[in-house]
Amino acid sequence: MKPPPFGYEAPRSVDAALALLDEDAKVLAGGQSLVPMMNFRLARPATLVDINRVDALAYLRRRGGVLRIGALTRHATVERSDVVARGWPLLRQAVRHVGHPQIRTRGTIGGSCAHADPTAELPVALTALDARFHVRSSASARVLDAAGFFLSYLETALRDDELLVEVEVPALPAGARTAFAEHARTHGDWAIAGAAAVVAPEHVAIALLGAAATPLRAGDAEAALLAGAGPAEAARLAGALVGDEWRAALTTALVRRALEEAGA
Amino acid sequence: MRISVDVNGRRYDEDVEPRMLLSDFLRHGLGLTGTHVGCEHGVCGACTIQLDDAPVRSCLMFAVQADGRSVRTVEGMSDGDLHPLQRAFHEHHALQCGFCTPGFLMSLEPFVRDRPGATDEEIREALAGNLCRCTGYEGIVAAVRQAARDRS
Amino acid sequence: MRLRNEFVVGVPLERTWDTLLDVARVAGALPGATIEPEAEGGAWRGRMKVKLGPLTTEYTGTARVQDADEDDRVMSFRVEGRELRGQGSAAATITARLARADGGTRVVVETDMQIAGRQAQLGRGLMEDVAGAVLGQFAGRLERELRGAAAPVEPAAEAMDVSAVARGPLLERAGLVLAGLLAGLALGRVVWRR
Repeated sequence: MKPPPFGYEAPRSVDAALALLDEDAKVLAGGQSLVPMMNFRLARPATLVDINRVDALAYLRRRGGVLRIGALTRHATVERSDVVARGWPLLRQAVRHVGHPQIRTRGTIGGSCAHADPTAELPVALTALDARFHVRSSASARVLDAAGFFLSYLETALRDDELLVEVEVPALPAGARTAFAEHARTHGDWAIAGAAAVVAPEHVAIALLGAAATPLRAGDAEAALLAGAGPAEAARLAGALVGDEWRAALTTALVRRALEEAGA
Repeated sequence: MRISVDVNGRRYDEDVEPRMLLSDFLRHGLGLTGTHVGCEHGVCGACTIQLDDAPVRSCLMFAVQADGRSVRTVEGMSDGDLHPLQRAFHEHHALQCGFCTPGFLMSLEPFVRDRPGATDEEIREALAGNLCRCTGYEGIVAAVRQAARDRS
Repeated sequence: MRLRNEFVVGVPLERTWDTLLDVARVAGALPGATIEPEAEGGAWRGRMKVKLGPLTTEYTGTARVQDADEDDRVMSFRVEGRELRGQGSAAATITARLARADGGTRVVVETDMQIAGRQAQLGRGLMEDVAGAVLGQFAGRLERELRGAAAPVEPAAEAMDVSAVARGPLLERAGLVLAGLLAGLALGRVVWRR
C-alpha cells in the first residue's frame, strides 16, 4: 500500500512550523508511527508538516537540575546519553524497549508523546516521572502535566494548531531507584502490559502501560507502598485497576517485578 | 519536488512526489533494487538502509526527507571486495533466499562496529528488528560473531 | 576504545562553554574540514581530509551535540562517519568536561570510539600520540579564536597533516581514528562558513 497524495512542507523554525498547523495538517517527526498509518491509508492528512529540519527542537540538556528534552530528540540519543543515565535512568530503561534500533534512530520523544499510544513506553515512563509537556501555537504557550496531556487512545490535548515543543522532567528525589518492565509477545513488538516504577524513601510513582486508554498512575498502590506495604501487595492494588482478568494478572506480575527491581 | 540525494557516494537529482517512499525511490527511481520491500510498515526490516550512517527503515521515510542527505544501501557496502560482514554471511550460510539479507547487513554493520564483544543474547536482541523466514537465524548470529572477530 | 586528553585554555569557563556549543567559532580551529552550512535536526554533515605523509584520506560523516549538562558543565557529542572511498567506518561519543583553572578553563575530553574496517588494527599507542598532537593544535587554535587574537586565524590548511606524529605502515590507519577524534572534538555543532 502507498499513501495517497498530500502537500508537504519542511519548515526550518518553530514559528514557521506553527504557522502551517491547522486541522488538515499533520506533524511529521520520526514518522515511525505516522508513516505506517499513512502507508495503510488509515491516516490521510492533506498536508504533512515535516519538522525534522527544525534544529531548535533538537536538544537534550540539564539545567537547574531539570531535564529538558526538545521534541525532536531521537530515542537513540536518549538511549546513549550519560546525562539521562545519571539523572533519569528510568528513561533509558524504558527507551531500550522502544521498537528496534532502526526505529530508535528516527523516532522522537515528542512524536511518541504526541502519538499517545497507551502501549508506548516513553509516555508511561514520563508519567511516572511527573513530566511536564510544553505546547505552543502561534498565539500561545501552555504547560500540561501528564494527566492533562494524554487524554485517550491516540489522543492528546494538542489542538490542531499546536505543537509539542519540549518535555520537561524534574529531578528524581534523592535516593530514588527506578525500573521498567513490560511484556510483549516478541522482542520489539507492541507491549501488552507494563509498568514504570520510581521508588524513593518518601516518594513512589507507579505508572501502568496498556492498562487504560492513557498511561495510568496507580495511586492506591503508591500510597500503600509508602505506608509500608510490600511489593506484592502494592502490585495487587495496581493490577486491580485493569478490567480484564488476564491483563490484570499480567500487570500485577510486571508491577511486582518493577518494584522489586527498584528496591521496594 | 526536486530533490538531491547522495546515495553510495554519488549524487542524484530527481523529481519526486512527496508521497514517494524512500524505499520506492531507491528501487524504482534510481534502479537500486538491493533494498527490498517486505511489510511497508516498519516491522520486517527488509528495507533497512543507512541514513547518515545510522540504520533506518526506508519504507517509513519519504524520499523528499532525504533531500540533501547521505544514504547508503547494500550496493554501497562492497568496494570490489566483499565487506567483512558480507564475507562472514557467505561463510556461515547466513542467507538462503537472500530477501532479508540487505536489511540485515545494513542493520548489523554499525552493531558489529560498536559492540564487538556482544554476547549471543545481545546479538539476538540486535537481530530483532529484521525477520528471516529461511535460515532460523543461527547462521546470522555466527556471521556476526565472525565479523566481530574480523573487525580488529 | 577509550581515549582521554585534556587541555587548558586561558579563557573563562562560561565563554569556553558557549564557544564549544557555538558552531562558527569552533570551525576556525579545525583544519582540513569542510562542513555543510545547514544542519538537519541538529546534525551537521561534513568531510575531512587527513594527510599522513603522501596519503590523503577523505572521510564523510555527521556530528551532533548529544546532550549538555549546564549544571555540571559537561557536554557530549556524537560523531559517525565513514571513509569516502572504502569500507571503513567509525563512531565516537566525545565527552568534554569543563572546569575552572587559574582564570581559564580546563577541558577534559574523553573519547569512546569504535572503528571498523581495515583501519581497525591501529595500535592504541599511536592513536594516543596522534590524539595528543591533534588536541594540542586544536587547543592552540581554539584559544587564539577565543581571545580574538590580533592575527586572524589562517584559513584552514588543505588537509590536517599529522605525518610528524604517525609513522610507517600505520599512516593510513591513523587517519580514520583521527577523523573521528577531530570531528568529535571540534565539530560538535560546527558550521564552516555561512
